[in-house]
Amino acid sequence: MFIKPSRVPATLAALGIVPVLLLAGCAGSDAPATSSPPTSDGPESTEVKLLTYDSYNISKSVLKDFTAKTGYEVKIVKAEDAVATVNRALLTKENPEADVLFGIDNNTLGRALDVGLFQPYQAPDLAQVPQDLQLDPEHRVTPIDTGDVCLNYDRATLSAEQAPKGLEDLTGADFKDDLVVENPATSTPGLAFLLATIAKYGEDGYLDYWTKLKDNGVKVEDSWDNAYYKQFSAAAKNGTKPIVVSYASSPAAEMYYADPQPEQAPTAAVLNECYNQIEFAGVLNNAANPTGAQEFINFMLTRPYQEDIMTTNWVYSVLPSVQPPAVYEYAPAPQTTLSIPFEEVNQNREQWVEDWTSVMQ
Amino acid sequence: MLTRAAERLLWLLPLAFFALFFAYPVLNLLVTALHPDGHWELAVFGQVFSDSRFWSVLWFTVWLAAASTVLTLLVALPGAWVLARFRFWGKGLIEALAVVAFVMPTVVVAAAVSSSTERLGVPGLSEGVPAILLAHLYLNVGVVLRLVGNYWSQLDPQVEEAAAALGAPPWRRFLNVTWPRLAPAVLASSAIVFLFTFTSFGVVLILGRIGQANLEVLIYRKVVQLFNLPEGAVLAIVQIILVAVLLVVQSWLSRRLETRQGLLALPRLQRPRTAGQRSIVAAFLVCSLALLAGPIVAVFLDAFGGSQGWSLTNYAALGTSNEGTILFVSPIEAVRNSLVFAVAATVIALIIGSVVAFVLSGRASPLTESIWLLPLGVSAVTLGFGLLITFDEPPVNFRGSAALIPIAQALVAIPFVTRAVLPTLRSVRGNIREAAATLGATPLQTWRFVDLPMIVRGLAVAAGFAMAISLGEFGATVFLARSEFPTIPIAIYRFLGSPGDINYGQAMALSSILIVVTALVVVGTDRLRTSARYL
Repeated sequence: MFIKPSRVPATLAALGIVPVLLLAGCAGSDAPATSSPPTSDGPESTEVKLLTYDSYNISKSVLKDFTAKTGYEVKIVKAEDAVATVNRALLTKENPEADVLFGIDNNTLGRALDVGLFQPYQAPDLAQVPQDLQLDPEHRVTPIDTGDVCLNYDRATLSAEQAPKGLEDLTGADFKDDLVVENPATSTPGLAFLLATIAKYGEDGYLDYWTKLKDNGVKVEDSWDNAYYKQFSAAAKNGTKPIVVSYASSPAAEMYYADPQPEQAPTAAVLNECYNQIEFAGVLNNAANPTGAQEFINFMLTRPYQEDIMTTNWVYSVLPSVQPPAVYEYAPAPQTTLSIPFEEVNQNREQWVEDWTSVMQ
Repeated sequence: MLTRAAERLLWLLPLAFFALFFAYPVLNLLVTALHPDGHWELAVFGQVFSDSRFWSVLWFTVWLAAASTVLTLLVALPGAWVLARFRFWGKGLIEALAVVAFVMPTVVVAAAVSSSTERLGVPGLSEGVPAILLAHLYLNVGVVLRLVGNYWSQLDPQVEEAAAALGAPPWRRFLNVTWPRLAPAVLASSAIVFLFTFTSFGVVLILGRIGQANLEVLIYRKVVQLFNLPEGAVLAIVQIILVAVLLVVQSWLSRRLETRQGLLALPRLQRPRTAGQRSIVAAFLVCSLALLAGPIVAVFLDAFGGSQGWSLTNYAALGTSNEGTILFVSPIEAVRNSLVFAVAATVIALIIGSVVAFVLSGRASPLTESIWLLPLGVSAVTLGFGLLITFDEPPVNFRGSAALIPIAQALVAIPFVTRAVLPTLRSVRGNIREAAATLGATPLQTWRFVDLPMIVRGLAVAAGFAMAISLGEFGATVFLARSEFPTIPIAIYRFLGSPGDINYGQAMALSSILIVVTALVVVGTDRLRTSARYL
């Protein structure tokens, strides 16, 4: 947490530097730091730290239920968008900032599993989750929700006829300076969208496609939060971009929050060429409170949590028994999706993203 | 002078510090770059050098630094002339503003530039290269104003007056008489500006468009966004080598300037008399106020303003806790963290920096001086990255604690301390020390009663700068600050990178706090008017 202000300067002045610097280091680690080794009954263990992305949301009442049931208080540490969050966890692997990480998705799993970011944990309720969502046979990560990354457009600017029908339309003159996307180096929806373009145009063609998008004035933001709430004309106060990479469920969210309720959602998703995303949670290796972390993952698979995320994070439950609420009628499921096999993404993701970055520079 | 043995012992202090916190991390970077998969190989170097993106980033880095330097010179040289020749109302204010600008945290400058240019409403000015150049101009204009202005004021104007009497037109007088004498100062200040803008990080990271990167930002992206540590390490090593070369050039140019002869001891300043002179001075005042105060004013307007008119909403929000916000702790805690880290860093930097200065003041050749200052000029991003990968595992595991942050900040601040203290130490005349020694003073007594009183003001100036630099440090801290202890610049960066009025407002409110603290610290100590220099 904190170096005691009085300690370092005083000792530095008194002793001379080298021994003191070592002391300073110790002073820091002696302080009640969150990274102190796990203890079974110390005050530390009543707290579970969740590292997640900036747009993560959960109802307070649901968290309170968790505390009431388990005695653990949840502290949420928000990094940037999910790819950046995972990288942050990778960089601090030896001394993690949290106990659980949520938000790693099917497309970012590879590196994290290779370097041992997570410790295996099999939640009792995992049996209820369909097999095809459980990508890691060793259960180092647990699937929590799924979503479909699709283009969204502002209905105030574009009618259904005017809206793009798929990826190819975006390079046309009709949509000059109209599109905002997320950076695949930092954002999971951004990465999913990049993968959609690779699935469609192939490894040899996707960079040409992006060059055309660039020439057509595509705007890139580092996080979904910024793309949606800073640039998208339907959601941001001064937003100027009528097309954004978001989720099939986003129009339902717009409807849900709109006050007064309009007759139809102010935005709509393009239901072609979407890309499926599965979001996972995992217990971080070297976590200070692994037991609490496991409890939280158990909780994430319970009905209250799974129901809550559908109208807080706007994602689908991984439990077949949990059905979306009525507002999801405004968010029809995608008609066509693109996909690349999990193993292929794992092998090539870094190269694809680096190449993309070079082109977009 | 100290005895040889005592002096050697003194050397040990900075040596040990640099060995542990500079050489060891650099060694670790080398291992990361050369030993990525469990055996020694040059493959990663080949990978980086064969990537066209590396070369385009390198080109952009050089180009950006050169363009920033030229722009800064073009704007600052006329101003330096006004400062060198005239005495007028408001001069002290402009000088103080320029010093404050020089130490202004880069994150704040980036916020201020985007805020003020958006107010101006000029399209395209608030991000990308134009915005970066503007931020670099703001940060560095003081370097040229101060360094060239001081030097120019010491050049005897009688030479120009003689040329005028002989009928030389103004352009000719400048080209043939003034320029040859002024050039060394211009070159020396250009080298400093080039070095600073070559290693610019926060400004390019925040104001650059997507994909726009100089070497510093590329290192950050490779490490933090792509988790490609070996390539990040190769880039860091390239950066160390390039900065080393630039430092040698810069320190040679500055050194040449120090040994100039025939300068006026007391500058001849005059009040503007003719209408032409008055309008030149007035124009200077207006332009420099617009450049140096404009961005600060914009920050305050945004901090107190909001959709509902004037209010303290943004400041009140700083005290709220972490629920639902992007920071783990309340922003006010970031303020407290920053102050504690800055005090610790200042103490470390003062001790190490002044010992280095003391050692150098003895009998250092320019080469020795450059070698000693080499580890000190290394970019903040490289330092942060090196420390991050070095001290996160046994035998020395600092990562769980905050101790690395003040150490990193001290490493960034030490060169400023050394450069501030060195001239005052050199000005202590050797024969006074010898007299003290003859009268039976021990080396320690000599230092206590002769050197210390003479350098104490220099130390105060150095402390002010070290404090300001630590408060605003971003490039190294961004690697090391964990979510439990963000500093003000980290918090500003996070708020700026998040959508919504309240996040923007909090970024501006925090920026305004940092502006006030930095200005107080620097102006307070700069008023001591010693021969200490921060450049």
